[in-house]
Amino acid sequence: MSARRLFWFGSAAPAIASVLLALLLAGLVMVITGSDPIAAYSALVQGAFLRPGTATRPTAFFETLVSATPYLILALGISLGFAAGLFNIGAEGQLYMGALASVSVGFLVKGLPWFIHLPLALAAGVVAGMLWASIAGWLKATREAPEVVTTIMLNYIAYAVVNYMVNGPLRHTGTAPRTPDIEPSAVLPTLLPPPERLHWGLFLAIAAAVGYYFLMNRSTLGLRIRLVGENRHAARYAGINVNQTYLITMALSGALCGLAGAVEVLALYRYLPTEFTVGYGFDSIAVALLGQGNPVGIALAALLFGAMANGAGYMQFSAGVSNYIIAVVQAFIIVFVAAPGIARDLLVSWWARWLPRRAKEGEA
Amino acid sequence: MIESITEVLVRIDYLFLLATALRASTPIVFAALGGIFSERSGVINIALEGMMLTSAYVCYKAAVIFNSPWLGLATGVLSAMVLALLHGVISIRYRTNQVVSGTVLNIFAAGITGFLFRVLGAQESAPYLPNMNMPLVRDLPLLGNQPLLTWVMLLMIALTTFVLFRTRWGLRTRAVGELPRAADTAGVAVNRVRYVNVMIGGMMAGLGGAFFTLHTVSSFTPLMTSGQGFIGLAAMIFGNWTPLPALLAAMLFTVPQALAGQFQMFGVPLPYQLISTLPYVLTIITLAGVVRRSTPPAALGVPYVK
Repeated sequence: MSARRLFWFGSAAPAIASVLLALLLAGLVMVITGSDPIAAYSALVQGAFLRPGTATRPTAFFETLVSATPYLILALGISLGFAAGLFNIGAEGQLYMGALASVSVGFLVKGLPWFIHLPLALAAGVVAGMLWASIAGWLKATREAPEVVTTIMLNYIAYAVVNYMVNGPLRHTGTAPRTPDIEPSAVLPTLLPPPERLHWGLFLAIAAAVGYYFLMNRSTLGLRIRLVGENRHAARYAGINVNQTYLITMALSGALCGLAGAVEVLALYRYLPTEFTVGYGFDSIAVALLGQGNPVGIALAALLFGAMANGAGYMQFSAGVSNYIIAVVQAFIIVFVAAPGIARDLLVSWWARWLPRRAKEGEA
Repeated sequence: MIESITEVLVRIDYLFLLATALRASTPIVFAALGGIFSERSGVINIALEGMMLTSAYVCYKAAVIFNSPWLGLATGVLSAMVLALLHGVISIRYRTNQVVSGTVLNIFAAGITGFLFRVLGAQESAPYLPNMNMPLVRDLPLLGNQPLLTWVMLLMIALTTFVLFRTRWGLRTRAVGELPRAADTAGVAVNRVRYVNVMIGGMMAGLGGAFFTLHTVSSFTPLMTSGQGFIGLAAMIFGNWTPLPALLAAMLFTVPQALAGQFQMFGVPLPYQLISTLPYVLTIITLAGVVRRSTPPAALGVPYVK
């Protein structure tokens, strides 16, 4: 099979089929519960891509890109872990710690020009995410502690730390529990005048995807990561330091997740609320699975998830279908991507039932 | 500040404190027991959270529909078992990564319960399960006037310990989780044992979910289990995959919370957010093997291929 055919039939076609099947099944859930799936999906497409902007409302498609940005960065980080056979469920916590560090640098450090302050704030987020993930990486490498569990636990600790800091030491003087605004010199600027919110984070995300491609396909480290992921025993025989690779991969994965947190708060919020983007880190696991380790695939998956996240509000508003259905669609997508056997068996049993009947109808 | 802390420490009703902690431990221990059954047979189960959430919703809805907390409980537990069966099919039959399967089910549970809650609406409150407040029982220290499910939880600890370590089924379960090839050679149907244990795990998580809607409050809110399933996972690990230590672990997590609550009541606020991280910090320390080696089942997470 040529590389192109392998791409299509090995990854792209099953991924697209999974998405369609998931939309179909979620539509079925809507029908059963008395909602109109066609109205819901057309509102979703409207809200995600087609609605034009007004003086107060940003353009739908640009908002989809705004939502897709953190998904893309996070999913690249998670995919990096997957490549080494590591399951970084801690993206959410790393994102929170990254956001906390970025905002702290953003409002505590004053009097710097933007071309120093902004990179510094971004770097703080990257380093915080990296260090947070490295706890799990270090425990995996030195104590064989399963990263799945440690990263879950680190998520909850990160939530609590952010909650404590925002309610306590870093709280601003107003009524709502949040930090003060960051200095204008730390703001990641928008690309278009308000109400548009499209910001430079999109280009950072794309740069991250390009970097991911070169790391995985054109560098020794990428080869090492992939070898460890394929078969760590063989990798060890080949002289690769597996534990060191785990540590480095986890750190890089966390660095990307920290960057996602930094971008979110420096571009969109410009302060740190107690809770923001709850669940981005978990949804991004789905994005990474759907993207199947390919940066273009991950970018398309991020766009899809960004569209669903962004369109859901309008769907709820205009078609009256709860935005929770998006999570159902996402769950179906991952299950079909991760267990292609299920999708195949479902489809085969449908075909098996439909084909003979259709053949008969054709004869008659 | 120091005076006030000692003052509070003297004035606290410690029996009441322990009783509060025991009650708060109920869903955590159920989740831990669910994890123990599932993981002892070799199947990682991070979907306990989703199973609890699903059960919490279904218990609530069914209790309202049937106007009976008992039928609500039965339906809710059944729903968690269906989810567990799905976990089994995805991870045992289709041999999908068990962590992926668990993640899927958690996302699915959050989505479907939130969706149904919004669509089917919910203003009515569900009928409660009773507390153990009969004469005589009512006056027992610690156990008196506790929710029914707290008693069931204690019973299940005893039952789980007995089943796992004193019955043939328990031996098979542990064999399948440690060395499935050997168990298979000895004639044990590895995957069947795993299916059943994952579903027993679902039942436990279902009972834990019921605690949220049939005892604590009589209504449902989306995502109301708020990570208790993961704390259960932490209790399971901290208790080294055994039932009674899992309860002690859960108490270790809930007593400080209850204590923080008491301090709050006496007007001495502690940073409760940081106290709430205790379960997670302790679990990480346990997994790091600082105190003692944690010994998960050897075949945990590895699908069995004949």
